[in-house]
Amino acid sequence: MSRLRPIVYLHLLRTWRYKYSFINSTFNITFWIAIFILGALLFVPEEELATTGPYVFWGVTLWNIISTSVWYIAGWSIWFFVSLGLVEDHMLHNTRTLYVLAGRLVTIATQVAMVTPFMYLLVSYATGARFPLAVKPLFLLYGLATATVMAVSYGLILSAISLRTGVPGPLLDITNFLIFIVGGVAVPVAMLPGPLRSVAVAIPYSHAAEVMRYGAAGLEPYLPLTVEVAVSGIVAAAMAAVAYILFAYLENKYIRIHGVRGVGRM
Amino acid sequence: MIILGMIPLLGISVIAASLLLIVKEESNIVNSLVPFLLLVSGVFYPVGVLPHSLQLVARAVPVKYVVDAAKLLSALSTTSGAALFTVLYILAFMGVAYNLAAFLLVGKVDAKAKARGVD
Repeated sequence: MSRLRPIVYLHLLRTWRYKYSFINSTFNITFWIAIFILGALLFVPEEELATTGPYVFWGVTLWNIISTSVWYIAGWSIWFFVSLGLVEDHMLHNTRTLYVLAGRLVTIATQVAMVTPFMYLLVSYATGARFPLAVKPLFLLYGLATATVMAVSYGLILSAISLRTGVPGPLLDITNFLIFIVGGVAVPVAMLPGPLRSVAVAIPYSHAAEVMRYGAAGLEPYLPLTVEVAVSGIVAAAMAAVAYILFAYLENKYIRIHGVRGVGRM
Repeated sequence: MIILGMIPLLGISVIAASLLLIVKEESNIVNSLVPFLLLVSGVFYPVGVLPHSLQLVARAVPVKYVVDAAKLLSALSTTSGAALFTVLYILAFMGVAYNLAAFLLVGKVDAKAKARGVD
């Protein structure tokens, strides 16, 4: 706990110092999502708009969590953490790189908290309905929590690969885009075309998204609810374990011997 | 038409660049300008689907008029040319207004930066 406090403080302080960039980022995300939402809802029949509201809102919220986590951890690790020479600096002070990067969750949570109310207003306006945020809050929170753990772990895994290869954020764009389109994040898995359902089921986020949609609007998941709950929990734990093991290897067996080699280093 | 539409955008860009000298942050704080302009300009879908407040904001965005003019020209939906000339006049006015505002602002920011320094 005594080691986590300075890391949380570091990220809060950094967020405050770069407040204009942070606000700009909030608007940037909001506008891009707004472009997508308004465009997508143009093709939804008017009589279905009110029922689509919760799926669209929580879908974009989940995607925002996933996308922000990946960019704010994997992207930041090379473009700032390595570039500024902070890896060695933290290691000299006996602070694990893993904890510093995982501490980005503070910035991610703040960013998501700022964007989400805008999204709710926008979806409410576009669908013409003030929909309830949750019908089964515990399931909603569980879905969001497991998706967040998966997203942060995925960001850390990419970050570990970046620190090892020196390539900033490999796969960032491709995976983000694919997950949104075929990953069962934007739309319920049952509403995807046949072959894409199998792809969506194979993508971890879809299980968390199905649980989240059940909690948000009572929509029955594609697989039985107990299976979705179990799979999302197990996958989240497994991804967190992989990230931890990768970083343990990276810090002890690689960085201490070879140092870091980021392309972004100046 | 496109070139005429770019002139007021130059003014907007200079205004944004002046703001960078004031806030002095390492990352580009004007990233949100692009999606904002795309959102309120009617590039992807009609401005009419936006909330009323954004529709009002859209009237001050030059790209909206370029898109309007492109639609008029591509659909040949005007025979008198009156609608097209209205768009041209608006763009010409915006070109002068935004660049004048940029000229005044950049002068003030420049003077402030010289007095205070840019670290």
